[in-house]
Amino acid sequence: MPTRQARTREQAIVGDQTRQLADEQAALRRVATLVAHVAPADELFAAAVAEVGRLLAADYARLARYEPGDLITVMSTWTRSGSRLPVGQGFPIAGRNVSVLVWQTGRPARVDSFADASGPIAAEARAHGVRCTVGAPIIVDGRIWGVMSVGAIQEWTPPVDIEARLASFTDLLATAIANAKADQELRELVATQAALRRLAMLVARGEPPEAVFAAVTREALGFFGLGTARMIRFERDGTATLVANEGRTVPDVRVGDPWVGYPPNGLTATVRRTGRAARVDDYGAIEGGEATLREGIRSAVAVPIHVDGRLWGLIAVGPGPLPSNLERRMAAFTDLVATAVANAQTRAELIASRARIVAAADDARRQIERDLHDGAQQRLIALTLRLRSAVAPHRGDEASAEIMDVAAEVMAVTNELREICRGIHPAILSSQGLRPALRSLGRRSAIPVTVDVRVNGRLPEPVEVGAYYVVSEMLTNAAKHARASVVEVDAEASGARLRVCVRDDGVGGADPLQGSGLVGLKDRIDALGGTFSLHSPAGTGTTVCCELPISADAGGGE
Amino acid sequence: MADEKLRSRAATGPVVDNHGMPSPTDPGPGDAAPQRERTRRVVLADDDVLLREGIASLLERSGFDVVGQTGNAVELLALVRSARPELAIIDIRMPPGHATEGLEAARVIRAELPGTAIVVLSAHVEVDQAMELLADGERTGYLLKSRVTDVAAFIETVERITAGASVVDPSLVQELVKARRRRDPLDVLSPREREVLALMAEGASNAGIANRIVVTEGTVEKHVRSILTKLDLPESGTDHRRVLAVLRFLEAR
Repeated sequence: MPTRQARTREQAIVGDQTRQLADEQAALRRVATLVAHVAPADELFAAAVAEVGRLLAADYARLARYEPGDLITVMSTWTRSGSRLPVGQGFPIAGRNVSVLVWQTGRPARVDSFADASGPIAAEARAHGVRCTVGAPIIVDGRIWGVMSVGAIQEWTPPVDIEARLASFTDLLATAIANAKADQELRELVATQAALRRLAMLVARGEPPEAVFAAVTREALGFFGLGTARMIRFERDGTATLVANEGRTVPDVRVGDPWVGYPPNGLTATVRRTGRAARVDDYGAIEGGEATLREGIRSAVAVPIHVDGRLWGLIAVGPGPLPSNLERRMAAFTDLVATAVANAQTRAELIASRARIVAAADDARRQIERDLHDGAQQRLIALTLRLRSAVAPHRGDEASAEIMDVAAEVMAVTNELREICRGIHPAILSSQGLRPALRSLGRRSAIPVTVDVRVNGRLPEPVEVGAYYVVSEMLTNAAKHARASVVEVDAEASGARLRVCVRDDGVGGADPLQGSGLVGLKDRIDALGGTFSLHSPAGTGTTVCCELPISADAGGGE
Repeated sequence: MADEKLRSRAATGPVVDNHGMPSPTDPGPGDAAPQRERTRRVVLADDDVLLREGIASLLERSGFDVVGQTGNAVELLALVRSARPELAIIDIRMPPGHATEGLEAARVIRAELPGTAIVVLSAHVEVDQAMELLADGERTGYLLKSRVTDVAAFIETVERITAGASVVDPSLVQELVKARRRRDPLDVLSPREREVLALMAEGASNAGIANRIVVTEGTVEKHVRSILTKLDLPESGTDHRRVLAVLRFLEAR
């Protein structure tokens, strides 16, 4: 029969339980409110460990996250005394302790005495005087994400249902983490889509591949927020080329030059060998890593770029905190890079094929000029010579006069043919180069032309021919349509480009759509991968400027 | 093959045949006239056989001895080294490259045998090539290939060159003189002075110019001095140097 005291005790217990339940509900509600307001992770975690610690009358509470590579990182801690425990520290998951047990079983676990606990975490706990620990897993999307644990320094009897009560909190945290993860992924997706849109616009605008590579690398830098990003292309002959470098540091190699002197087990070598992502945690610790270290990069991550099933190159970022999922996030990003590269490559191939068509036409013209020169012209000269030699000088008969007339006619035809040959292909361009050829054009113009050519040595033939035709066509236009009084021709080769400008002071108003030779010129310059701009407002003359890349495979892309 | 050709030509003996010889229009002192009695030996290089034979027969009829013919630059050098002709007539464009092989050969001949007169024939005449060629030495001609059909003038020109003159094709000089300039330094010249300047550029001597424009040599000298002063050109010692100076001026203007 229950005594009064017993009843009172019972009531007290029930009262305790009721209060306890109310406290717990209140704590959960406070954490849930934070979750609902999408509080920053560190704030949410700090609140959760504090609520759990106080609620369970523990001396400390801790939330830690399992990382790939069998590591555990402390995310947040609370102590009754208010003293701070280190956060952000990583430990190997090893030995016998709550974190390991939870990791292994995926279930709550407890270690009642640290006498028989082991491993780095236990050592740390012992150092803080921890006696007893209980932990529960945080399961996100069916996978173990982390562990919430509470412990005591003083004598402490954990509540019997402590595992279940911890689980209420870890479930709530798991929901918050899952939401945050989804949110983060959504954000990344949006950012990625935005990056893709920007890159796609670059490609669609027909920017040269180098510009696309630089933009892609810039996007990677902005996206991952690290110090430097660079793109390296693997060439078919086994070499590599630095195609873009963006960010704070600059390597010894210039963009566009062969990427040499990299460590034998660094990112470039590893990605090329394995075709997979690679990371270097400390360039000080790997062979040949000194240069990178000197550059200010201690750690970096690289992911491969596959284009059309081929390992095309890599994109690397560093230095800085390199989260474990960086490779995965970058891999999603490099798919976009590959698309951009493939598009740029397709465009480069198109430009190359157009350049080949133009070159083939030019070759044909040169061949025709040569055939006419070596064949018909020579024959006509020989024929004239024969006719004139057949007639004794100063013979006044009719037949001789007739023959001399014919000879003169043949000679006139020969001279005409020579001018036609010049129009088909200017021999002076092949034999003497751009400067003499442009000066010769200028001298033959019906209006005064000043020619300033600052080009050292010879340029690739398609570039010379392209520039020649631009000047030739513009001089013809200036004389025929523009009613100009003077034309300035200016050509300068600097770095990797030839810039040619032709200005007249005529009536302006030239319209490429009105069937003039301008469209043909623009096509020709486009085919060489160059740019063509026409400025011809009515009344203030016409200016045409074009820029041509000077490379042996002008416009030929890779 | 070159040697064979050389032998076969040599076997026929020197052809001294003055029939059809045109009367030179430029018989000034120091020009072709005093050399006429002597047979001048010529080597001919052109890859077009028909035309080459035509020129050869023209030369032989005009009192030259064609001691060798060839169609490429390598054989030309061998021929010139062995036959030591007074004159080499060279097509600028020959195998294998059909580019400026003749110009290269001329340069080698100039360096090895500076006394050899050289006439380079080209389908197009270009000022840079002309100056390049003339800068290498005297007794140099640079002519359009079609000039050979104007038989009398061609022979006269070749004789002047052999005698020491340097000659540039009139069409090139015309291109240079007629080139339009906004502020043209040639504007300070009178029409007659322009005419004289063009003839100077073609390589005519004062006597030759006097003959062409039908004035006295003294008048030509006066014109020349006036031109040199107006254009700020230096007095040049020889007609050859004068050609080069005038060409340079015209090109750079």
